[in-house]
Amino acid sequence: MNRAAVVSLAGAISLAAPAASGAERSTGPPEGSGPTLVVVAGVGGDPERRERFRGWADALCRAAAGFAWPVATRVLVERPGEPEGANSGTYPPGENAGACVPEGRSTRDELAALLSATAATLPEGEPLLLVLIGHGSSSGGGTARFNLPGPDLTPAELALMLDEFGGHPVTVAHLGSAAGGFLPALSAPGRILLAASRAHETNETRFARHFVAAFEGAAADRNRDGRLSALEVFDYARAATEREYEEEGLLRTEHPLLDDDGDGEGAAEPAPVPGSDGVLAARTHLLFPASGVLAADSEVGEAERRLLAERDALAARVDALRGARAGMEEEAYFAELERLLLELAEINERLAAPREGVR
Amino acid sequence: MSRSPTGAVPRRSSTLFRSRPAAATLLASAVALGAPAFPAGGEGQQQAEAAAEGWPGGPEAGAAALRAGRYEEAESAYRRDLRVPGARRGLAETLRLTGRYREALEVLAAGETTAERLLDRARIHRDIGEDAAARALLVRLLPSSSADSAEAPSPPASNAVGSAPPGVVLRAEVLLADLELAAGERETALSRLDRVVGRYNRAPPNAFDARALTAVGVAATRLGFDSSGLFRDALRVFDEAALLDPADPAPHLAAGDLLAAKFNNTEAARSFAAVLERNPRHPEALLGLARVARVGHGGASGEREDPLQRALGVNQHHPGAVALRVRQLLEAERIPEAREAARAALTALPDAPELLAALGAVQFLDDDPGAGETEARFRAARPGDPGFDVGLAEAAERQRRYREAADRARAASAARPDSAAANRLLGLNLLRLGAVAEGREVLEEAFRRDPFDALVKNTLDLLDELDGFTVVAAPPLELVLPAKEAAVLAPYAEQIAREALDEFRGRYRFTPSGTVRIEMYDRSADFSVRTVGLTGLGAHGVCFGETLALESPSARPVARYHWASTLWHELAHTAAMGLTDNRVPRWFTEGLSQWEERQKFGDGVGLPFLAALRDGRLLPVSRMNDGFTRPTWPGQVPVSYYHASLVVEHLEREHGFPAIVALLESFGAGASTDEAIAEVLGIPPETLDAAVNAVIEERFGEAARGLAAAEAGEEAPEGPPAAGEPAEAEPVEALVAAADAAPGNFLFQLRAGAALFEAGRDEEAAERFRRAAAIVPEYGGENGPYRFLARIHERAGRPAEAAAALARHLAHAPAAYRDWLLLAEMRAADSDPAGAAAALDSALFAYPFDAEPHERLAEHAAALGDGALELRERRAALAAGTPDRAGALYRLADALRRAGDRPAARRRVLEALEIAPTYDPALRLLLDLRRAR
Repeated sequence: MNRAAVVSLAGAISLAAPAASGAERSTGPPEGSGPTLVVVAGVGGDPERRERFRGWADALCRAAAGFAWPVATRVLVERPGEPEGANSGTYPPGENAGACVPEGRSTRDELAALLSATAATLPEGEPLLLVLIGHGSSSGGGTARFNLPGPDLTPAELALMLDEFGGHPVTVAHLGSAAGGFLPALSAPGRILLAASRAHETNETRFARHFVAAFEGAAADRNRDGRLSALEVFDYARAATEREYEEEGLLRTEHPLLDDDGDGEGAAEPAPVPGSDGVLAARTHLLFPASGVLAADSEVGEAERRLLAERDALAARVDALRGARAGMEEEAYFAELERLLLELAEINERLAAPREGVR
Repeated sequence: MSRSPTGAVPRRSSTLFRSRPAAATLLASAVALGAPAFPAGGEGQQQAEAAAEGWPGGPEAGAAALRAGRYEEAESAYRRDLRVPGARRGLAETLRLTGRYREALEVLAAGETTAERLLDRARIHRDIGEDAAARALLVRLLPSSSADSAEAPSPPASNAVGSAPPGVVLRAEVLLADLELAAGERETALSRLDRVVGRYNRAPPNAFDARALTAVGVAATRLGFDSSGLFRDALRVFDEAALLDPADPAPHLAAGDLLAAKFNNTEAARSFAAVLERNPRHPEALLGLARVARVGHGGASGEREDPLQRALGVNQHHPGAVALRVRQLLEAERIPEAREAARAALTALPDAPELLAALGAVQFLDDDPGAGETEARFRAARPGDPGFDVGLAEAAERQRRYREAADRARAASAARPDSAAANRLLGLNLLRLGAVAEGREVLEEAFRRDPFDALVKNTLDLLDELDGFTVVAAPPLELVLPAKEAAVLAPYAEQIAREALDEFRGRYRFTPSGTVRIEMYDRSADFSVRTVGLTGLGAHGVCFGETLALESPSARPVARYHWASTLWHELAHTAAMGLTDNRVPRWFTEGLSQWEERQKFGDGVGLPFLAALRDGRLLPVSRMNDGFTRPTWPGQVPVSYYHASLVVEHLEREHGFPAIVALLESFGAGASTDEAIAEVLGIPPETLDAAVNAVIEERFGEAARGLAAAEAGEEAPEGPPAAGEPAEAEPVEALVAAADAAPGNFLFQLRAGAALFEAGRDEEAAERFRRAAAIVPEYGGENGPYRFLARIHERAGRPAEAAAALARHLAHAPAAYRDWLLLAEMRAADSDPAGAAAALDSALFAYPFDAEPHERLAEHAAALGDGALELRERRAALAAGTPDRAGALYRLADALRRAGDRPAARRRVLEALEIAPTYDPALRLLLDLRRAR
C-alpha cells in the first residue's frame, strides 16, 4: 500500500518503491510532468570506460525511475546505437522497461536541444537535475571542458543552456575531472553545483561511482525521510570517495566541491550553516516534485491527513530545536528533544495503528 | 605553534657577518693587512710556506699525490725534497692523515721553527688528546695580551717565535679556544672566539686564506649556541674558504661536520663527498660519511665498502674512526671486541678523548667498575668537555637503556648547558621514558638555542601535533591516539594490550612498573620522527620500554600492515626489556617478539628468507645482532626477524619455555649471548646454531634449494599478480613447461598456476598451486597458493573447500584484510555465523576503520547472543563513520536496551531521532523505553 500523502514531509515514503508496488507507481512520465533527470555520459576514451560511464548513467536513471513519485529521465550517451553494456536488455519487466534507453548521442548540440526542450515543457517550479558523467579537462589552467563526442562542452556554453531554466530549481553534478572549473560560470543564486574535483584535478575521478550509489540504496538518506537532499548525496559520495582513497593508501587526486550560495567558489565541506555553502543543498531534495507527493490512496482520510500535518510540524520543531542547540545546556536540549519526539512518536503510532489493522 | 626554520641549515645566508667577496690569494691578504712577515728561517721557509699555492703546499709532486690520497707516493716525494719549502709540512700532513702522529710531530719539530709548523704541531697534539702540549705551542703564536687588535697586534708571548701571520694567529686562537672549552675555561674561550669573529669582520676583503676562513667558520659554529644565525654564517664562510682554495678539504670537512651536527645528513654527505671526489682516501671525509650513514635508519648502504672500514684502512689509529667502530661493535652487542678495539687504540694514543669516551661507554654498558677510572682520566684532562657523558648517553640510548641515557645526558647538560647534543639527548630520552612534559621543556630550550637541529625541531613539531591527539587513560595503559581515530581504535588497542599484558604476566611473570604509554600515529613520518627524530624509518613500531610508538592502521595501505600484531610485538619487547633491565640482546628480543606475534596472529615465511637460506647468508646466533644493527644486504633486517623467531621457536620446543625465561634472567644479569646460552642451555653457541640449522634445513631446505637463483635473489618477488589482475605477458604454456620442468620451484608453480587460473584452466591451475603449497606450506606472501585454491573452489561451487583454503592462506597472511572479509562472507553463506564472526573479528585487527564490517559483525554477534560483542561493534560502526548514522544509532540503542542499559539506550535513540525525526523504528523504540520506565 502506498502511504504517500499530501505532505512534503514524507516519513513513510520509500525512495525506491518496492517491486510489488510498481503497478501503483506513476512511472515513465511524459515530458513535462515533473522533476526531470538529464544524464549525459561523455566520451569514454576506451571501450572499458565508455561502458562504465554508460553503466553509471543507466544505473542512475533506473534508480530515479524507481522513485516512489514520477521522475522524467532523459539520457544521452556516447554511442547510443550500440547494444552494449548495462543498457542492453537488462531492464526488469514492467512499465519502467525502456525508460532509460538513451534518446540520443551526447554531443554538445544534442544536449543543447534536449535541455531546451526540457526547459520548454517542465512545469513551473519543478526541478532539474543534470548529471555529467565522464572526463573533464583543463588546458594548462585555461578553460575547463567536459569531453563530449565532437566539440567539448565549456562552462560558458552550459551556462547559456541552463539560462532557459530560469524559474526552476537546478542542480548540476559534474562527476568528472577538472569539474571545479565549471563552478564560476555556472554558479547562480538558487542553483546547486556539485563538482567531483577541483579545477586543476585532471585525474579520473572515483566520486562518480559513489554519487550513483547514493541513489541506489537507502544509506545516503541520512535523516531517513525518504528523500535525498543534495547535501546528503554530496556528503555520502564524498565520504565514500575519501574512504576508498584511504583504504587503498592512495594520495587523493580529487577533492569534491559543492557550491550553492552563488559565489562560484565551492566548499569542500559544505554544511547547513548560514552564510556558507550547504544551506540550500540541505533543504533541496533532488528530483522531488515541487507540489509534493500526492496520495494515490483514497483510504487516507481527513484525520490521518491532520495527523500527518501535525507530525510535519513537530518534525519542523525538532529541526528548529537542533538549530538552537549551540545556545542550550545539553540536558535541557535533550529533555526538550525527547518531549517533542515522544509527541511525534505517539502520532506516528496512531498513524500506524489503522494501517496495521488493515493488514 | 610553528617553527619557521626548517631544521636544515641552509647553505647560504648572511646576517652577522658582512658580505665579503672571495679573496684571491693569501699573499694579497698579507699585503693588505700590512702585517709583518714572520722572521725568515735559515731555509726561508716562513714566506715560502705561507705563500704556497693552495693546500697542502710544498713540492708539487708530493702535493699532487697528497691531494689525491696517494699517501705512499706523497711521503716518498716529500722525503725526497724535504728541504724544499713546504715539504716538511706536507710530509707531516701525510703522516697525520695516515695515523703516524708521532712521526708527524717529529718531522715538524726537526726543522726550522715556523709559525705554521707550530700550529700544525699543536693541532696534532690536540687530535690525540695531548692538550697541554698543544696549548704550550699555541701560546707561543699569540700576542701576550688578550686585547683584540688586528690593526695593532700586541707583542708576542715571551717564548714566542716571532710575529705570526694574522691568519695563523687567528687559527691558533680558534684551536686554543677549543682547548679552553674542553678545559672548562668557557668564558675565556668564548671571549677569544668572539674576538676572532670581530677580527674577521674588521679585516679588509681578501685578508685571510682558506684555512683562516675555515677557522673563522669554526669560531662562528662554537658561538652559534647563543646566536643561531651564526650557524648559517659559518656555512657561508666555509663556502668562501672552499672557493678560495678548492683543493683544501678543511672547509668542506668543517661544513660537513656542522651540517651533520644538525642532522642535515644529505647536505653533510654532499660536503664529505666533495672531499672524496678529489681524495677518495681522505680518512676524515670517510669518517664523516660513516657518521652520517650511522645517523640514518640502518639498512644496508649502497656503498660497496663501508666508509668507516675505508677510513680505518687509511688511518687505523684515527681516534674518531676507532671510536665509531667501537660504537658499532657495541650496537652489535659484541662487547669483548669493542673493549679490545678501544684498548688497542688507547695503547697507541693513551690520551685521545674520543677513545677514552669509547672505552668508557664499553665499560659502562658492561657494568665494568673500570669505567670510573676511565672517566677520571677523561675529566682530569678535559673537565669542561661533555663528550664523555654524551658518548655514554648515546651508547646507552642505542642499547635501549633510556633511563641511563637520560641520566648521562642530564649530567652533560648540567656541565655544559649550551651543549646541543646533551640537551637533545636528554629531551629525547625523557620522551622515550614517558616524561613528555619535562622532555618537551628541555627540547624547547634546545630549540631556542639552536633552531637548526632537525631532530629537535621535528620532535617539537610532533609534540605540537600530539597536543591534538586523544589520550585514553585505561590504567595501567595510556593510549595516545589520533583524535579522528580514537573512538574506533581505542577499544581494540586496549583489548589487545590488556590481553598481551595478561599473557606476559602469566607466562613471563612480568608486570610493568608503571603506566604503559602506547602512542599510535596515523602518519608514518610522525611515527618515524617519534622514533629516530627523522623521517623515513621503515619500521612499524618501536618500544622504548614502557613507552611504545607504532603506526596506526591508517598509516599504511590496507592489507600491508597488521597493527594488532605490531602492538603485540612491541609489548613483548616491553616484557623482555623490563625483565632484563633493558639488557636483552637485540636479536633475542626481536626473535622473542616475532615468535610471540606469530603464535598469536600467525605469519608466514617470505621468499627473501628462503633465498638467504639457499645462499648461506643466515647469521649464526652469536652474530645475529649484526643482522639488525649492521645489515650488509638489502632486506637483511626482516629476514633476521624471522630467523631470530625460528631460533626462539626452537628453544621453546627443544629446551622448554622456562629456558626462554632463564635466558632473559641471564641477560638481565649481564650475560652476553654466548654466556647466557652456555649458562642456561649448557651448550656452546655453535651447538645451538647446528641444531637450529638442522631444523631450518628440514623445514625449508628443499624449498630454498628449489628456487632458481635468478628468481629469488636480492630482489625476490613476493608472488604473482593478484587474481583478477592481468597475468604476465609470458605465454601460459611457457610458464607451465617451466613449472613442470622444475617441480621443486615454488615460484614457477605459483606463476604457472596464476597464468592457468587467468586462462580459466582451473583444474590445471589447482595442480600447480597444490604443488606450490606442498613446497612452501607456510608461504606468507599476499598471493599464496591457498588464496588461488580458494578462488578455484569458489568458482567450482565448493564453498566449504574455498573457505578452508582461504583460512589456510590467512593463517600465514593475517594482514590480508579483504580476504578476511571474503572468508566471513563464505562462512556466513555456509550458515556458520560463529566462523563468520571470527573472521570479521580478525579483519578488524588488520584494519578497523570500515564501518560495514562492524555492522556485519554486530549482526552476527546479535544472532549468536553475544551482547558484549554486539555493543562493541555497534559503537565501532558509529565511530567508523557509517553513512547510515541514524540507523546505526538506533541499532545501538536497541542493543543497549536488550543489554538492560535503558538510560544509554534512550540517549542513543534520541540521537538517532535528532538526525531522522520521523524514523519509524526509532520512534517506536523511544516509546517503548518511555513506557518501560
